[in-house]
Amino acid sequence: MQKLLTSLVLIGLALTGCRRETKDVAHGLTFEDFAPGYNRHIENWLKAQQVATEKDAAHVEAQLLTAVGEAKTVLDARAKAIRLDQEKWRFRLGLGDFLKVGNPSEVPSDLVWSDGMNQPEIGDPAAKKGGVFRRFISSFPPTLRPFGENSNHSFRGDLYDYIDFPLVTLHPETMEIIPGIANQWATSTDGRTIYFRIDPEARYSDGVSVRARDFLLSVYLRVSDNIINPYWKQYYRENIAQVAMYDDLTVSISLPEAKIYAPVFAGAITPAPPHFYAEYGPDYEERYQWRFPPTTGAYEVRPEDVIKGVSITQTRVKDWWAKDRKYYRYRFNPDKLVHTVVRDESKAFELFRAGELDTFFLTQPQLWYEKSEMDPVYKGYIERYTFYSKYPKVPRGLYLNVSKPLLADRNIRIGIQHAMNWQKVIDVMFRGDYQRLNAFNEGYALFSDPSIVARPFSITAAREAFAQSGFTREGRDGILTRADGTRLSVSLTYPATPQTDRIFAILKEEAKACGFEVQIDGLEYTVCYKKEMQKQHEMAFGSWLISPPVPDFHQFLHSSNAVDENGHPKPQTNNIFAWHRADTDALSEQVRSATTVDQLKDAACKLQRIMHDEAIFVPGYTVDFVRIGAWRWVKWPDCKETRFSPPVVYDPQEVFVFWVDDAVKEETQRARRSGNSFPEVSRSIEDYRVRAPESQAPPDEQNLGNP
Amino acid sequence: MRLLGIASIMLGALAATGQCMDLALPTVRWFFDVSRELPLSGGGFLWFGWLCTALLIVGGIFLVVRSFTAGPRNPVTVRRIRRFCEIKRGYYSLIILLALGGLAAMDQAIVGKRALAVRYHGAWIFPAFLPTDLKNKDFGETGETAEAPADYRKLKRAWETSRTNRVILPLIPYDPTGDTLPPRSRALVKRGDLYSEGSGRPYWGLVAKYLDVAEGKMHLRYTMRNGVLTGPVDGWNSEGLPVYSGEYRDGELVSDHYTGDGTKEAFLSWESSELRAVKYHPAPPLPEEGNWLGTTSQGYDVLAYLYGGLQVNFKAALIYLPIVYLIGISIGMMMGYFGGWFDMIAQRLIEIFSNMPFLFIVIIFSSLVPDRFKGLPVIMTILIAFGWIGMTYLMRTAAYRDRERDYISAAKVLGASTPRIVFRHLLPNTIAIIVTLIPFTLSGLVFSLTSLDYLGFGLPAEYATWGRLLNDGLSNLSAPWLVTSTFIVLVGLLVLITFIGEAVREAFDPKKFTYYR
Repeated sequence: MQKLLTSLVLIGLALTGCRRETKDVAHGLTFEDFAPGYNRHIENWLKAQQVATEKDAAHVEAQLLTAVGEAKTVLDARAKAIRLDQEKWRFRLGLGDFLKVGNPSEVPSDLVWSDGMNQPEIGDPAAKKGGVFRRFISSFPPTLRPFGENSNHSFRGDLYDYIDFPLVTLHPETMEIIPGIANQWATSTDGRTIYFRIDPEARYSDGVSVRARDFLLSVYLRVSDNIINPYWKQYYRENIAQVAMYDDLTVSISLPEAKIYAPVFAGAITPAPPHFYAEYGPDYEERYQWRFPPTTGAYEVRPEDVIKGVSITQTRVKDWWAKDRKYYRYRFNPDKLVHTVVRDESKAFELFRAGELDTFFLTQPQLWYEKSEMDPVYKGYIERYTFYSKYPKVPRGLYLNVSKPLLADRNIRIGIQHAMNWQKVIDVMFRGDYQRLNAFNEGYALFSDPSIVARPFSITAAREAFAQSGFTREGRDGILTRADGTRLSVSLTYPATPQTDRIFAILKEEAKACGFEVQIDGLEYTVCYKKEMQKQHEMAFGSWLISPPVPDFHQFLHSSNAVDENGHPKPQTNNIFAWHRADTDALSEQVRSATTVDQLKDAACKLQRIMHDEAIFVPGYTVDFVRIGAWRWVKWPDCKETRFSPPVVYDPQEVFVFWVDDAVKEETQRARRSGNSFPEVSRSIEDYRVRAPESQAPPDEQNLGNP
Repeated sequence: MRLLGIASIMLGALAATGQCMDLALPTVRWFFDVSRELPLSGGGFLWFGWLCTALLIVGGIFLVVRSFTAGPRNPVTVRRIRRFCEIKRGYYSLIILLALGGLAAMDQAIVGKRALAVRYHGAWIFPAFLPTDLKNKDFGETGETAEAPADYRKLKRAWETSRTNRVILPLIPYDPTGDTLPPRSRALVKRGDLYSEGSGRPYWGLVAKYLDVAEGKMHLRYTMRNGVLTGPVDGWNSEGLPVYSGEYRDGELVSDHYTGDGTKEAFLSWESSELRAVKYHPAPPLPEEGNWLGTTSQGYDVLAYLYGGLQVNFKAALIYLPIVYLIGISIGMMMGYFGGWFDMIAQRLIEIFSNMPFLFIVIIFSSLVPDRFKGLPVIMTILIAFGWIGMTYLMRTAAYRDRERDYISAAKVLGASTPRIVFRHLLPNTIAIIVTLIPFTLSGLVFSLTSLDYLGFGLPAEYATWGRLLNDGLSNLSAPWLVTSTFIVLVGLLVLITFIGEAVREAFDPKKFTYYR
């Protein structure tokens, strides 16, 4: 009877379709038991990939024998990619265990170690430690866990991403590598393995020292089956080849292939304190829901500081181990960071006006020109700053799905580029403050082509382009038609908010003058996202930003993300263009696997140029500044090294170079009570502003004053 | 009745004329426009348009003939009409409402961006009544904007001093929607060293010198504090690209930076207007610029937008009322007259319908229908689907009550068929109820439409609706003219309708004086 029951249960489980991933790794293991199983799992996966690649290679070889012309170029590129893949699998299988515990003798003795101490200091030496900094968040985070379900919420930046220490990180001005937990690092001769020496003084906020094993543990926590986390599983399986420890203070991370900034990619891992995770198990998500792990960063969250639904306070770690280190000693200044939940943005603004919140983003024109024209500003209590940053420009614009009938024609795409009057949107809606974006992935200091200029709004040029495609007759309603009756009408899918509704109403109005009908398709955000992921849209409004220093084109242009085996558009990928072509495939792979800056730059600029020539992306608008209002007791750097903030930041507050001056706060509160005022402060920091070179544009294009 | 008949014939004739001569006459063009736009209702022949035209003409002829052939008027009806006219409040409200309806019917003749008449090189053209838009190149414009639809306001400004060319624009020369205006501005008055808007207080805010005031093209934009230039300054070249930035303090230039062509001095000395206060959208009422009630956040003129909303309300009413009453009355009377199983089943169906939460269903429908198909037809369908129920209760009761009366039995005995009894005997006796209910159904419709539009589930943005303006105004309370104007017109319309309703109810009351014991 019992046998019958067990077999029924097993059959039931089998029928529910357990994922193959769980076959090798069982539940509820501790780390020692886990590691061998996981290593086997990775090895089996690699072997399976190798077999699949061999099959692919044979298939392509066979086809190459008979292919000619265009097909041959495609196959050649494919063959090259396959060879790289094969090499990758060989290398990885040769490394041995994924999670490796080695001994110090395995570390090569001829390594050249860098310590990254030659970069300029970050922050202002005049910074004072202390004070309380108050901000608002629009919703309480669903969890405090760094990984696991629901951990990818908007507050995780403040909790972890801006604060936690990885092994190494990038200097926010020069984009060179600076130390984090590791005080030295070295790259192996083949460029694929990075060795890190952990700073002996590195400690968690509870005083426990950081050990090499903590990094392996960190991987284990994220990839085990105790949590549902497909992202991390895939990330470690595909992007990391090995995580090894040699002694208590030496770690190495191997990447499947050499690339530039390899130490940054390899060193992005943060350690996990073993004593904190002693209760790790299948119930991790409930058990650790509101527990903040001891951190190597400057701010921790104490249990008494989490008031659910109301506020979270971060407290500066006493005796933080990095508090006197270069790059960090003038940062992380306030004693406490208080984040209060305020759901309504207008209410938050009123709190700011009353002095209950210390800073507020005023980038939006209505806020800058209207709402912040108020007494506290006139009296100098609140200071306003415009900070021009060097952050890559968000590729905000229209992504054209070239698998749709009209959009497959390049002439029509070029016509669409000329028919979108973004400048009017900028002038009318954004008060002329914003700027026209010029290219996809623009603004990466080393890897963008500054000579690409977006096609301006031009009725004649648009009509000419449409005419080339056969749209010459104008219908009764002003929309162009072909001889066979096809109307020049394309739908535009976007997530509907009051602002986007207005933007597209203007674009539609202006497009009509060119004889082009834009069918407005404003959808709720998740519905819109789903539609785009299914590649059912024609034109989609989107903005996928890849953080610096390196742009990515693979996810947007590679054919593996465009079509599936049957030639239908592939869902659930970021290739919103449904674009596939042999040369862009090769170039985007080159971007990914480049080993020198020049290689990457060459490929990236070429790809930008192709995207411009093929007109698959209609650049929209961009903002190259951040406008902040801050009460005058919030002080910002003003020294040779840092003027207001390092430039490669999305938000100047994310690098924590500001500080709160309690004496000034006292003075201001007294002045508010007695009615005294200070001179109004409205500064524009243009030190890092990127301006276009004066006369670089070729003679047949308009001369622009600004990128 | 005769007047009504004649009016109907005329409307039908106008519609036909407009279609045959390819003119876009105000209001009557709607039948054929719908025929062209809605799928299925057009085809090569535009059957919907011709059907409506035919109905209007035939209906009109019928009414006129009846006015001659029918006997003396029913004394009860005469008395009711006289009593209605005696109630001055309701009577005048009806006149005003009809006047508003007439105003709304004038369509592009009083509100629109297309000129009524243009004299170009001696020849007169009437763009407002042409079915297609003329282009700028038809009026001699060359260059970039040649292929764009003609901008008559710009032409009027350009031909101000011309002797051979003239443009006559409608009273309010803006379209209700689809006509985004460039940012507005207002002239500043200089008193001594300080600038002010005219009311006396020195100006705080953005000011600019314009290259082209009407087009909103700025040359230099400054910040002004207490009437004096203090703060950042930005400058644009003739192509609209930012080339200049700087800083002022207390009226003196502290620093500046120029990145455009030529020298900085040459740029600064370009010919541009005096300092004007910049009014971005939503702009306050600027009668000197032509925006009597200001602009909305989108940049549409508020007065034109309100007019568009009025038109939408009237259109909705003219579609909604007949259909809802047709369905409601027939089903209600059948329920009451037949009773028994028919009544029971129909009542259960109506119960189910009335228990469905109206707002949720509207929201669901609104999200299901793709934006492309959204418009008056879809919203009307939903509103009608829920609106006919109210009528049935009243008609059912009336039919039940009258069914037992002697005159119905007499008719039956005389051998009258069911349709004859229902339409000739029952229906006229229930007219009082129907007529009394009309104004209140109408105000309910206006209110539901406004609420739906306010929530964003109603008509798409191409239609000018008061609900949308209300929403805009409430999210921009620093622009009070938006809410105020919408509120006034909405309340005004509903008050008019309510007065009429009250007067009708009193007029149709069988007792002249009602005592409460």
